[in-house]
Amino acid sequence: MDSPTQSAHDLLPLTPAVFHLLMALSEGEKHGYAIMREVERVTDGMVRMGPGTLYGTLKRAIAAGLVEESDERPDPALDDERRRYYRLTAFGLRVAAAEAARLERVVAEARAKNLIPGRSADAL
Amino acid sequence: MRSDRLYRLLLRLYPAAFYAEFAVPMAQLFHDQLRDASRGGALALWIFWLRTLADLLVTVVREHLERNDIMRRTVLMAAALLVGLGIGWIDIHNDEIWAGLLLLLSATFLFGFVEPRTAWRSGLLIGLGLPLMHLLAVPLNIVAPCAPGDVCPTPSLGGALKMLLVLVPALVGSYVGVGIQALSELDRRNVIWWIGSAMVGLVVGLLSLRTRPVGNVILILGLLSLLAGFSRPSGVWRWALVLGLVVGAFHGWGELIQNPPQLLLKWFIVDIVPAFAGAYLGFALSRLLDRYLPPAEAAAQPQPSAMG
Repeated sequence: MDSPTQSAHDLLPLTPAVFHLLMALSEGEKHGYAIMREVERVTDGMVRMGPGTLYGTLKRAIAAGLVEESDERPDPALDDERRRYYRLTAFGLRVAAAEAARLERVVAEARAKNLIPGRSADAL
Repeated sequence: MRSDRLYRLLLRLYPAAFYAEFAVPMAQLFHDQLRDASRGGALALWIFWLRTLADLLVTVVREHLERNDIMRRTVLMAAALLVGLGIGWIDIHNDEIWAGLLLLLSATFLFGFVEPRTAWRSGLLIGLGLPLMHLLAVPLNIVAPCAPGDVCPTPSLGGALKMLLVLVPALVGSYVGVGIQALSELDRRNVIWWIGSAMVGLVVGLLSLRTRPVGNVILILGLLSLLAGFSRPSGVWRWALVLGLVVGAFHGWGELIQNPPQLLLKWFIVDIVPAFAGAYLGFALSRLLDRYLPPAEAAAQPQPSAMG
């Protein structure tokens, strides 16, 4: 629920780190290493979050109400250590969607200006 | 193992609260990344350590600066009040009204431009600094130098209360600063909103000078605020404050001729209260509608995944 002082659009534009974090969590809750791997995968290795960047971003996202801590449990794919999981809040999902929509408009504009190969209004 | 221990030691550079909250998962992540990097050989390990150190240095500085953000804002607000008191002192010692007004507008513009997030606070504090200095002039007997034979103004409570009118140009100045700063970042949506709310306040204020009874103006004020709170719930308290102060200033200005200056404060309160009440009622209605009749695009968004 938006507060009297903030709506999803008030937080736009998001920094790339925050947006990548929200995108990584949009499919379900993850621990830090899984978030980092997902961001690397999506960006073809161009964005590598170190522990300081990732957890600093998580701290700010939690403070902004975009993300919340889920629980602690082992990840069977890695080892037996208990790992802290994080998940998107409903507000975080709205903010991520709003940012994605904003970026979509930017990409459409870039396509129209032939900056991105592909169909554009002029080509049609 | 040595790398893990070294990194855990370096984590101590973070602020204590951050360390307490995140040191364990950060050490875990470092361990996982180190494991991945070690598969690439010695060069990959060196590159990994360089990246990690760069990440650590940048984020340690950022976390320490953020921790001090509250202190920074407190210092800024104290500075705003001192600037207001300083301008008030200059105003007392200067016959020319424009001197104080121009200083006030410049100061509030600067604060609004540099720190837009706290523009209303800095504008309010600078604006309050002037009447506060005039108020302090009464017991401290601060008077302007006066040549023999001239009519010398003496500090008075009434004069100090009249100075509350400077809250209007103070807030206007700070939000002009916000507006210019926003324009420089191409945030035209907010700039149009602020200009629009100031213009509405001017129109209602002018109307208040010609309308009787005053209840009509208060009703218009409340309805306009309700509309604002309904259509733009985010930051609606700023709209209410600006509108209430602008209209209150007009009301007070019109009454000053016939009534004691102490009534000026009454008009600020009489106009700010319906502005806030209307704005938050509009906000509440907006939230109720969102809950029971959500817009189509909100219903189409995917729901968060299930927990566990």
